[in-house]
Amino acid sequence: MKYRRYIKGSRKGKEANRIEREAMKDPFLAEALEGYERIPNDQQKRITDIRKQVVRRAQRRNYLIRNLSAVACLLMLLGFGGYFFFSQNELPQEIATVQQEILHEEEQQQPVEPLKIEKAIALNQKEEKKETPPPPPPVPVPSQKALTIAEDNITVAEEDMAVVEMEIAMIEKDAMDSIDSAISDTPSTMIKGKVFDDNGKPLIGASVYIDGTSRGTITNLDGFFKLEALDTGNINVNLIGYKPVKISADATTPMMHIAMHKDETSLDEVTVVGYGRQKKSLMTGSIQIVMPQPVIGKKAYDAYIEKNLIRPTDEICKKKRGTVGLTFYINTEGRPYQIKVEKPLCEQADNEAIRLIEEGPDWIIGDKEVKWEVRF
Amino acid sequence: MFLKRKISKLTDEELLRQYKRSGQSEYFGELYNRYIPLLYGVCLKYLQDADKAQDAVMQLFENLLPKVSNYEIETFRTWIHSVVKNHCLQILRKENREIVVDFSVNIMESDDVLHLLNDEEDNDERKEALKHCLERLPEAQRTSIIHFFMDEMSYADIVDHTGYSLSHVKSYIQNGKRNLKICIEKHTV
Repeated sequence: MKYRRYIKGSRKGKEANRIEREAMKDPFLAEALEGYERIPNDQQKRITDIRKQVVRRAQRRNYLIRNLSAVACLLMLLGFGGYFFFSQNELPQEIATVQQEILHEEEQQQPVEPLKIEKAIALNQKEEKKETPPPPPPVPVPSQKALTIAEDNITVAEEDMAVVEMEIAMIEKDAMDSIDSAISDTPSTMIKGKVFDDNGKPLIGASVYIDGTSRGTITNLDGFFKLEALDTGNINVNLIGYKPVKISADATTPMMHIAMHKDETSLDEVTVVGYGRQKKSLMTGSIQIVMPQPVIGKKAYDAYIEKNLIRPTDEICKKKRGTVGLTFYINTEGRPYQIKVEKPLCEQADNEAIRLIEEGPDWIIGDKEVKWEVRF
Repeated sequence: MFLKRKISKLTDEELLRQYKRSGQSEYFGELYNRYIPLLYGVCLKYLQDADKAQDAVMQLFENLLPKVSNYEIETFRTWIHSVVKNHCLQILRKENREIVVDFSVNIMESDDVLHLLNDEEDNDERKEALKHCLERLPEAQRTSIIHFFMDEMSYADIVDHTGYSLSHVKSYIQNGKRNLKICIEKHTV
């Protein structure tokens, strides 16, 4: 609510500054504010409308579930009643009536609570099971023999109910199971897997893509993903705050399990990867963390250094052997900047080392600080 | 009915628990509604259209209502952020649109520099380092940071005051913070 004025467009003054500083620490708020910045008019009315919609929707669903679960119970029990009624048609009429009575009684005893449909069925069955065998029928039974037969039938009914109960439990389990079971029927050219953190918790929104391509996806609410496999190769998994994972893809494994480890140091580092614009699918979901590399490769770069190194000529430096340790960053053109001497050797050597990096070949862009040693 | 007055006093996690236990949609409705401004805002960011964003928020509610009880959710706020982002990205995929993600906001800076800048730290050594490092910043970064943190000026205020564009102000502050962090780390033990 306190964001109302900011959202409206009133972005000046200390209050606005406070909100902006809060957004620096809170990615959720930051993204939301970004959204409001893009749309010129005041969205307050819309927000109120959405809220009303949610309330209405919630009420409607409750009502629906309540009714549906009651109907479900009713149908289930009438179904059983009907089953016995028709399969035992040689019995005297009284027995049949007795059974109907018993079943009606049970049905009335069902608690009609608002429950979700999947659980409603299972729970109601459980309630039935909890109850001891149905109470004796209040209808007076004409003969003792008839009563015994009725009791036998009740036992049979219970057993059958138990069987159906089990079936329902199994169906429910299948329905409640994650997409795993459904997917296992898909053709084996799919790579499927789940991404977890160190504690076994599924990671949502991790970006999973096939190395060297733009083919990728993101993990869903269960940490699950599926990708069409070309041939075996590697897949990369990225999620901000976690160390990137590269793993060889295996379309024969029914479900890959990929664990990601938290990366405490990487949250404030960002990457602009590669040469130019990124394909959209690589950008969705996460930021890659990349250490800059020489474009020509480390070996070739070292060779360049060796080849172009001009040894210091002054008295202090010319006999010195050792390494100069440098740190620098790579800018958006692939050139080193902010070159600093971390571990000096001697002045001329230090300067020579800086010169070599400054005038040397390009680097692949990355945001991490580069540490490099030049040997003299 | 009689629950309505108490519901708004429950915490997020309590609402979730009640919803799991009883299945009454009002609980989740109340919880979801708390986050509508944030959820709608995020959808606006990705979908860039008010109607689409509204539909997305409602659609997400429909999706979550039956499913949310099945998840082990530690902190609802963080979870729902992840979920709504995912939801919007999937919508964009379906539309096959170019997803332009503005990375400048995705960088969540480390807290320690923020604490220093917000004057929430007592460490004298670091405060000294901050003063020293501020001097060494490029002019635009230094000006923007001082205006923002010390003078409590908002981005819009700084734009008026300096003439820099809004995106420049933001990136000066961003880069300035990072440079300060590097510099301060060098100057403290």
